[in-house]
Amino acid sequence: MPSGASLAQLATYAAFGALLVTLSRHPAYHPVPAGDALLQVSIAHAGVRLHPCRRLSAQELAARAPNMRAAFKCPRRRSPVRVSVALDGRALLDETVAPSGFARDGLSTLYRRIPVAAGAHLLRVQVGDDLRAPHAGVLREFEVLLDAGQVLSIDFGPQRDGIAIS
Amino acid sequence: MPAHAIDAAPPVTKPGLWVALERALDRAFGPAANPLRNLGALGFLLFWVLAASGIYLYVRFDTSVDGAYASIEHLSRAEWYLGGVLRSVHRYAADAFVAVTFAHLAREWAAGRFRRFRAFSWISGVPLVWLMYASGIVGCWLVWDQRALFSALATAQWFDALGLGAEPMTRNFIGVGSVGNRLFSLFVFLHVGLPLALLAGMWAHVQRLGQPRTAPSRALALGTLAMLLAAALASPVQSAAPADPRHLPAMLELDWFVLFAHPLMYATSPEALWVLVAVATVALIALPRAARGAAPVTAQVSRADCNGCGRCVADCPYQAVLLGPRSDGRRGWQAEVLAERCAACGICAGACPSSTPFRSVRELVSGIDLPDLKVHELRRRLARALRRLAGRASVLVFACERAARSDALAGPGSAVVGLRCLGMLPPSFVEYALRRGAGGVLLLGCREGECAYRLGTDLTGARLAGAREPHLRANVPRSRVRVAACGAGEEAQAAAELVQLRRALAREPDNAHA
Ligand code: HEM
Ligand code: SF4
Ligand code: SF4
Repeated sequence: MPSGASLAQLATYAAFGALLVTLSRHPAYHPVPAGDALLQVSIAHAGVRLHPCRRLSAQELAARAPNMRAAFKCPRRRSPVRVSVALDGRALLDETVAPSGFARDGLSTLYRRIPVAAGAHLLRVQVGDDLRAPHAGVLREFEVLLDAGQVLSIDFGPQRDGIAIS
Repeated sequence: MPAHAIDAAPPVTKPGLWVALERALDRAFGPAANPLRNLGALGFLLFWVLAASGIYLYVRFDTSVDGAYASIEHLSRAEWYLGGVLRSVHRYAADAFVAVTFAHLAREWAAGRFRRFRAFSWISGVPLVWLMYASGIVGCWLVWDQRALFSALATAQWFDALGLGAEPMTRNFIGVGSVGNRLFSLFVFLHVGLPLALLAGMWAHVQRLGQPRTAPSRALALGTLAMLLAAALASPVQSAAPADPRHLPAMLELDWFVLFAHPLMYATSPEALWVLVAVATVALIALPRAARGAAPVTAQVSRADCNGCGRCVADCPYQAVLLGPRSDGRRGWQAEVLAERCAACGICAGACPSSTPFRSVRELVSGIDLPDLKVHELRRRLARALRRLAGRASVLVFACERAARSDALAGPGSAVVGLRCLGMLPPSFVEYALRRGAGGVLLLGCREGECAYRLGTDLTGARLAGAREPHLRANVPRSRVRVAACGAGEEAQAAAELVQLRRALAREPDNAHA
């Protein structure tokens, strides 16, 4: 007959084991609500330079150290990038993303996850990379048929013909 | 009686919930195999289990992004009896490692064990939590199933919130085929490198402890291994569907021990998770400072009485004594105390050969002494206590001030001498008491595994058993010496131990009192 102490040991080990087994899978996690798809907006794009390059005048050049006499001065600051996404006419996202970096000369980056109902939708994506001209930029509309659990990624970049979904 | 009052006021508190739980488990496991008393040692065991099972998995693992998933599926299904079991053991050991580490942290916290001389142990424990999670999370990615992709993307999103680096890390996980072998090799590399860093951290973590227990008892080790094996067989770990950037299942089975931070981040925000983690880290590291207590006295060496034998170095629970070259021109070594590490437990004085009360000097000076409770003072108190004792059933009680309160043990036929820690008692004091009139000696210390200075109870046992210097001499009748392991709150047991010793003494034949 096992003693009370060894039964208590067994019970303790069993409780610990049960805790490990249970919390290593339960409760189940729902990354998107059941029946939804996920729009994944992932953009890393450099806005346009805010100031064009300028040829330096002769005096300006002369004022510089001999090894610093580049003919052009190019201010590095870039425009923020504005991204808007609408689904069936309803705005899901409208963000203006500042360029990264101290000098604000880097990429404007955005990553957003937006669950949406599965089914057929009209997706409208607009990206502007020059805020001096707020109404310029690229606009594209897609007719999409989303399955539940599908991840639709939205990207932007000249090498991708502007706005791309995948 | 008040006239026999104990010498040192005991700073004893009522045992808390945690202590009560540990004591309850003592009844089932005994202190040596009690998991709650050996959480640090269990952490080491689980690390070795992870390393061993991990090496097998690594050997059978296809380290390419396209082959990884299939190679693990093969182990889990076709070779479930070995590869599959080891995979599950690996995962459950990781989960257990997390649970055990947090329990260890909670235990030291609950016992207030982070101040002063413990600050090093505490602070060096904090980065281990980081390394533990980093190792575990990257480990989940190697399966490259949907769970792995979810976790990698969430982690990337978390780091992107810091705004370092030009290109966001998330973009490595967006399109089909975006994760190449280069990136995947980095995961594999990290899952080897991070655990190695963890091991180095674990090694550093115990550097300030004398005789750290980094291996659990055989019974606890076997029990834990059996538990992991049973869990692996009863509920084998399975992969989710293969990673697919274009698909996210509505339901993911997450390992909450390792991956709980991802749902937390999505329920709040990456920034909120950073703040939480940063605040928790800083708070844990700052805890020893915030809770700084009064500066304690520390052990002091008397060079003239130190022969450089090194016993104090061997017994100090906090590595606070070193041997250095003698400064008095003689050849050889002398003890040196590193004050900021010293716990003022007096265990060193209990180890020093100069601490014997038989020395016929007016002022008994040990090689190493606590300034506020010198060995000389102990002998003086002992002599005073012995004056009240006579008869074969009279008992001198040496009582640790952290153990059960001993005031009630003093009475007609018994007297109490208080100690900082039972390990502070040089065994020769026991013999001295018996020779000078005490019928018996009761050594009242903490329960096994509850010593406030880690080693006091164990060292005393080893010294009495003659297993460790300084020995209690073999000719001292052991029937007249009793060790009572009674922690705070166990006053009734301590009183019962005294009664039992007195009964036994009363039954002793007279020749035992030579
Ligand atoms: C990887 C996880 C860890 C492992 C494997 C581990 C292991 C150990 C071991 C083996 C000991 C020695 C036990 C003894 O001999 O008395 C110890 C002591 C200690 N640990 Fe940890 N530890 C871990 C994490 C932590 C953490 C996260 C903290 C707290 C922030 C912590 C705080 C302490 C303290 C304060 C002590 C000293 C206890 C004393 O002075 O009595 N440890 N640890
Ligand atoms: S009193 Fe002695 S044994 Fe205790 S910590 Fe200080 S030096 Fe080490
Ligand atoms: S135990 Fe005593 S004699 Fe030996 S090294 Fe330490 S202080 Fe010196």
